[in-house]
Amino acid sequence: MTDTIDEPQQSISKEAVKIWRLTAFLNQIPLLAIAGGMIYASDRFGWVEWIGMILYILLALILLRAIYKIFIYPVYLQKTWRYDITDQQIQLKYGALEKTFVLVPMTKVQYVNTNQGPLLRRYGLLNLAIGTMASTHEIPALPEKEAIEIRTRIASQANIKDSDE
Amino acid sequence: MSEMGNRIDNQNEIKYKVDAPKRMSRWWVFFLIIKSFRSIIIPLVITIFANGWEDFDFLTLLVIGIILFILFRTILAFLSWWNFKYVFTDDELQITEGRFVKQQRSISLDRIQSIQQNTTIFHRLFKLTTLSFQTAAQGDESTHKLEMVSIKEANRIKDHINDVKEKDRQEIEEEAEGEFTLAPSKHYEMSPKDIFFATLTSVSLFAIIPVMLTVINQVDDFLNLEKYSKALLNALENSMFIIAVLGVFLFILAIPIGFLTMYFRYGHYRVTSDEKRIYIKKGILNQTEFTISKEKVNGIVFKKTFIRRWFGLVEVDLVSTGELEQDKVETDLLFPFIGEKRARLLIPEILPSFTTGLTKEKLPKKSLLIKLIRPSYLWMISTGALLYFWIDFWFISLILFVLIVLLRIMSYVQSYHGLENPFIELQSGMFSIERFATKHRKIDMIAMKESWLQRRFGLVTLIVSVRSKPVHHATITDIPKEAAMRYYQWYGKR
Repeated sequence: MTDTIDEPQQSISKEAVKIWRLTAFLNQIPLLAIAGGMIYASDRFGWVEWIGMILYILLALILLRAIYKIFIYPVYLQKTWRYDITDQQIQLKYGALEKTFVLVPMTKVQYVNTNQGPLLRRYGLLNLAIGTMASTHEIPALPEKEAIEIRTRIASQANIKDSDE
Repeated sequence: MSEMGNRIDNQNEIKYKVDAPKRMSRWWVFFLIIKSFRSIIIPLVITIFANGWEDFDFLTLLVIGIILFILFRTILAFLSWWNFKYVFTDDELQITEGRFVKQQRSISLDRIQSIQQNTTIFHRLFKLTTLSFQTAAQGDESTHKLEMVSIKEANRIKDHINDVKEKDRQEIEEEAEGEFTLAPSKHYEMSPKDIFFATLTSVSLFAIIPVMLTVINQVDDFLNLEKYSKALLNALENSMFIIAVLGVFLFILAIPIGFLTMYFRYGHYRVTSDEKRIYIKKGILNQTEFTISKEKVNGIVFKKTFIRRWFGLVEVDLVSTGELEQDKVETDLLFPFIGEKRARLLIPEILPSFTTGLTKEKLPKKSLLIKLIRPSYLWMISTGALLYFWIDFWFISLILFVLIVLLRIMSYVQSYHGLENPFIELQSGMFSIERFATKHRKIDMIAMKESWLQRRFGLVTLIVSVRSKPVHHATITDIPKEAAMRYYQWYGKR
């Protein structure tokens, strides 16, 4: 057993960027549509003037956020996502602006699940969800082989039943 | 109901012979009918008031409706009662129930993590009580209730479950000699003086004033006091002094009301424990007894509210994996209010496996700096709105600013953390202080969050999560990264 616990090193698939971009795009579109619709309504139905102003500001904010989430965020998130799984514990480190470090001892792990939406499936990736009694943590966008290997390793070490979703 | 259970226990053997499953007490039917009234009482009252007393036809219709309703509910209640049966064996509790469709569930006794006993006035009249069994499962599956059993039967059931658990533990631990559970020792009994003091220091005291004002208002509408009070009101409006006096008067009146409420909730509050379990009993009209296994306690929380802090009163909660559903009384409460010194003496007695009051480390000066520097969106938005809409009240923005600064300073001063293997303690808070104590092996997860601003200062936010329902996260913000890493590393090693 090493004296200190090192920072996690393993990274996740680069394809995650493309997938997250697409998902963010799909998420932001309805918001933009609603904001745009409300501005149109405010114009057409002659709502009080300052509502229109606020709506414009909102639209600008939503647009900025959409650009950030679609173009900038996925790149940094993928670059900074790290995980490490040893016999003793599981470590996660993620986040660009706000970094999060998580440590979960192997003995506390209750279940390991994988999930895979259509987008992930296309690239052969899985999200791995590791759950304790207290919380669940997800390692996103792992290559299928790696994900299953990790899942089996954790399952045998933590002695738990695992399930596929 | 025939009681055909026999119980013989020797040191190592348990025989609980049950020849027939048992039903709830007969009074349960009555109770269910009354309970069903609760759902229609409000629409009923409204319809009566809406249609007036005079309409005879309407009244007859109403009475017929009510009678049919009672008839209907009686049949349903009777069916519920007839079909609800329970059996305790050496390993499990089996319940069959269902008015029309028969359902069965079996609960393995070793899954039961805690038992709560609840006795309302209604129950007490007939020497009955309610038993709730809490398991580790989530949601609907988690609690199983026996809604109306005799107190004698309840005690018998509790003893049986405890015996079974003893036996299991003995088998696991392979102890040669029988293990004696010490007789419960009484740790704490709340006195009326405690309750009075707590009432005085309770914030909800102030909340009673608007309630009373509403009551006065209602009475006014009803009795048409306005004629008499017009003169009084005029006099009032013209004198701030009288308003102040009235305020004080209402406040003083609120005290006995608050006291009575507290007394009914916490009267006869008693904490006892034996080697394995803690028993908390409370309530006057509605008595509740909560049992929790000491093993299941994952952490202790000390809460000091704003006012109570100055009087040295704390609230002590237990974080455990045996919590009951939210609609019941606060069951994770150990002491609702107790002197701090007394708590420090009692906790080691009740939970000898926990050490609290560890050497505390304060936050460095740079934490104060970051807390003050952090922009307050609340302040910015309120000031913006204030200046735009109510510019006459601009000084409120200033007051708000000073308030926020003060709160942040308090948050800095009141944050502590400490580690004395295997115990860890975190304290933080602004208005009220919360201190959380736990052990290494009870911690489920440790996380650190580092915002952009914190990165510049070398600070992080530390989160320690402990298993419970719901999960308990103890947080301390703006703690030096080296300190947090120390805890992180400490946790990672076994």
